Amino acid sequence: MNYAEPLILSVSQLNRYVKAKLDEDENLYNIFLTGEISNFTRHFKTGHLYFTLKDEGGAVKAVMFASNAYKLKFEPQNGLHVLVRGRVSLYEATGQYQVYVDDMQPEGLGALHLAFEQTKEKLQKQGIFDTSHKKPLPQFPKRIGVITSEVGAALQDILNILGRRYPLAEIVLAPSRVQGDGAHLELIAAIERLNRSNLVDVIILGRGGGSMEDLWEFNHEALAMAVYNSEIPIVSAVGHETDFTICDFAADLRAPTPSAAAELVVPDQFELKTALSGQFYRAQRAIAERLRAEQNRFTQLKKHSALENKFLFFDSKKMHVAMLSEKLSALQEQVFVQEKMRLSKAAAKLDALSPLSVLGRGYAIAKTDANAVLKSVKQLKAGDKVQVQLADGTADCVVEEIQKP
Amino acid sequence: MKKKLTYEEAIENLENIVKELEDGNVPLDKALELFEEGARLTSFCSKALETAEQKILSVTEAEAKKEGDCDA
Repeated sequence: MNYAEPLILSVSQLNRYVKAKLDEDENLYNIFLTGEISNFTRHFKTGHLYFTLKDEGGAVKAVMFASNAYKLKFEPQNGLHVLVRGRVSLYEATGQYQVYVDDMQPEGLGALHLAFEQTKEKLQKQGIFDTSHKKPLPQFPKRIGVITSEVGAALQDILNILGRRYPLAEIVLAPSRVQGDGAHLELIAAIERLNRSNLVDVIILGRGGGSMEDLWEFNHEALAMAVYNSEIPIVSAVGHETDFTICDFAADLRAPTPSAAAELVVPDQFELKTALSGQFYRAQRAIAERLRAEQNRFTQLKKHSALENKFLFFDSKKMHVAMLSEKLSALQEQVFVQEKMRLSKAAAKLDALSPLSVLGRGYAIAKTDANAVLKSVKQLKAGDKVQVQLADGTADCVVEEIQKP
Repeated sequence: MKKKLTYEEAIENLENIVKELEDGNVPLDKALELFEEGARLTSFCSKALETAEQKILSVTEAEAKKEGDCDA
């Protein structure tokens, strides 16, 4: 039997001893643990998260330091079932044993999905997605702002369609990264810049397809607010038809793809041309009808016997109508004649510039062996071979003598 | 023309002229004048569509250009 004096420990010594025991246990060093969050608080200064994880049988304290917590995409909250990774240790100041959490995942939904739903719900409550706030797009934009990656396929798609449908509009590119940490800050800066300089009538904001992680930057609350606060209407076009982002909901219009955004933003020039000839046709018909009506009125008047002797009056009226009639048919020709003249002028100019037409008038082009056009006798000496090109072929010649005036 | 006519203004003017002509309330002389203006606008619009070439500017270029406009 050992009756040695009992060892008396201080509280600190005990805590340090138990902490060391916990810390050296490999089973507690890297654990995965599931439970429901309760008593959740985020320290307002340090940003550390303090909470309890519990199940039906028990509870354990947990802490997640700010350096890890800032990486979470979703907002931890009471009642949420989570899977955490971390280690078990003891906090000596309170003697509390607890889980030090390195990473946390919501159970069921993925972290990104949950974050998406949380942001969506929050902004929806704030009225950021309200249709009453959405601005109409201009019918004929003069300048279109495009915010996307300079190197992405989306930009090419947008430019192709804008160029084909409505080349009248100028395009102002505000390049920005569209994926990777911090890209949303560049997108926000681009929106604000286009608003400040007030250069464009409408903005296309988007990128091509990708994974949910690739598109993630478009789900940031700050970007949604910038889109909401933009004075210039914004069409959001992120990824494919099936991809929805927070930015889409905040935008004035969501386009399923970047190409579709380009189509929504401008009218189609072929439709405009059809509408234009439609308008002109209506003008022609209206004026022709008007003239016919005047003519009828005149004929009716003439039939009136009481006025029959006032020939002078009729003649002047008749002449007036005839003159107007002539003027009209001249006008109807005018548009087409103008176009024809423009074309024939251009063709004549082209013809005059063609060297072939000069050859037709008896001139020739002389070239050296090396196929250089001869402009001076200095380029030649007796015995050189020369090629002479005429309208219908070439002749190979030899220089016999150089003569200078 | 005092100011450079935009496509939007031209097509709006044309639509108004067509309406006025179809109403038939204007005197004949005025109607012909309107028609003449309509023909001019039609050719302006179709020329604008046919000759337009899309300009693509970076936002920096566009801003510089705008400042140039203000100085002028």
